[in-house]
Amino acid sequence: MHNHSPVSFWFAITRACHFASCLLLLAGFVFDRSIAASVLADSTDAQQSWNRIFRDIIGLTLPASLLTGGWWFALTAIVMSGLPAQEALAPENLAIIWNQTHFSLIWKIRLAIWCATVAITPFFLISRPGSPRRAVLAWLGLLCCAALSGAMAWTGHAMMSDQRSLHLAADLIHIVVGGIWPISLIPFILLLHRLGYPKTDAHWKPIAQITRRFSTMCLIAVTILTASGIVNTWLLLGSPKNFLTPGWGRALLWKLIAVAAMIALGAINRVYLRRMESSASNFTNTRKAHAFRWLKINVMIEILLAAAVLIAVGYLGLLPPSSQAAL
Amino acid sequence: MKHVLILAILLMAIPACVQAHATAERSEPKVGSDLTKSPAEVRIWFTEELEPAFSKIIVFAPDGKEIDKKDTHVDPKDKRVLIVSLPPNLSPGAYHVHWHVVSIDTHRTQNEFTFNLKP
Repeated sequence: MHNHSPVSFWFAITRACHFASCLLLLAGFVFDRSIAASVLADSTDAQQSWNRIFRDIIGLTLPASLLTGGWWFALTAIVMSGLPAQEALAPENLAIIWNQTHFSLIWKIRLAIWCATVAITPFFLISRPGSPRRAVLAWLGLLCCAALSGAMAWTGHAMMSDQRSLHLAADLIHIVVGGIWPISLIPFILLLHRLGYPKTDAHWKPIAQITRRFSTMCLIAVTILTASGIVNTWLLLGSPKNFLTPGWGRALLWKLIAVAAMIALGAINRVYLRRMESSASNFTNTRKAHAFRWLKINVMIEILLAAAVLIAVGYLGLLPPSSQAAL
Repeated sequence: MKHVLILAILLMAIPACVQAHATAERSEPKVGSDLTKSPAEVRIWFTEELEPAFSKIIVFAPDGKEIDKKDTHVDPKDKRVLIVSLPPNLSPGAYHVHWHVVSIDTHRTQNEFTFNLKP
């Protein structure tokens, strides 16, 4: 018999917001290292645009990740204790959770990683673009953010698995790669928006390079996500027919449908980009403008679908997996 | 691509052997059992590792009073086993066992069962 708490809705939203803030911070560092550091090196304007975007991402996600993490901890205290909110959040109950539970151990580790990220970012932001110091700090930031996000695997269903090592590895990879695709679509669209429509070939070149490189990175990420997702599904679903059972199975089905739609949109973008490149010489400005607009619209739709996926993930962590329903 | 899809379908078709959210696998005394000898403790085996601070067994006597020794603890050798001690020489009747546990993935579950002590 499971205890279905009335806080479930807000808990799912809180989890989704925490995933989003941690992964967006990771996505910022991933985008900086894999795209901006190489493609934008020749374009001062584009690099300055990216630096402003990244600064805003850090300014938003660092406090947001702390706030949503704290809220997640508070809601977990309510769920774990089974007490009304006022009693659950009393100092003595919070002290028990903070000192005696596995969940708090992971949260303490994550808090330490968050502090390390906070310590790194000011030095990163004031360092000169393109300098070796900035590169080292960016890689350190990326590692911290990957650890901050990936450590969430240790509080999830993977801890319950009979094949814990395999499941934790799959979960860890699944979460961290989520920071590449789909979450790095956000820095990508922000940069496209900031750069604006390319009126000349000189402006068009960095956009085409960014899009091509980003597209390849996403393709690799989708492949890894699919593989780790299959392992997770295999370990938790029990049987394909459980996709249709209410609760965990159906939430997973909705998530997979949203992911499939995102992959389809990504594939359309990639095909479109190839066509643009293959006919670059006779591609008119009108057709380029059309392509650019559709690229932005498709990415926006992908981001909305990613938000739906994150909410589904928020719920999936709260529901008992289908494999258990068979007990 | 075709091979990847076939592999994915095959993997999903294989029943997995994981559970999440702790549920009781078995207990001693057994659920609904009839005993002739007073048990010294109630021991429940769960499917998952438990958070000791939020896991508890309460045993009620036939008259509805709590009779366990309020010393619920997790077996140090197996974090999936929850134990509570009982006083000696229980009187005959139906004993009601209520448990609520929190697994280490933070999920809370609860249930109850009875056992009978025959004269």
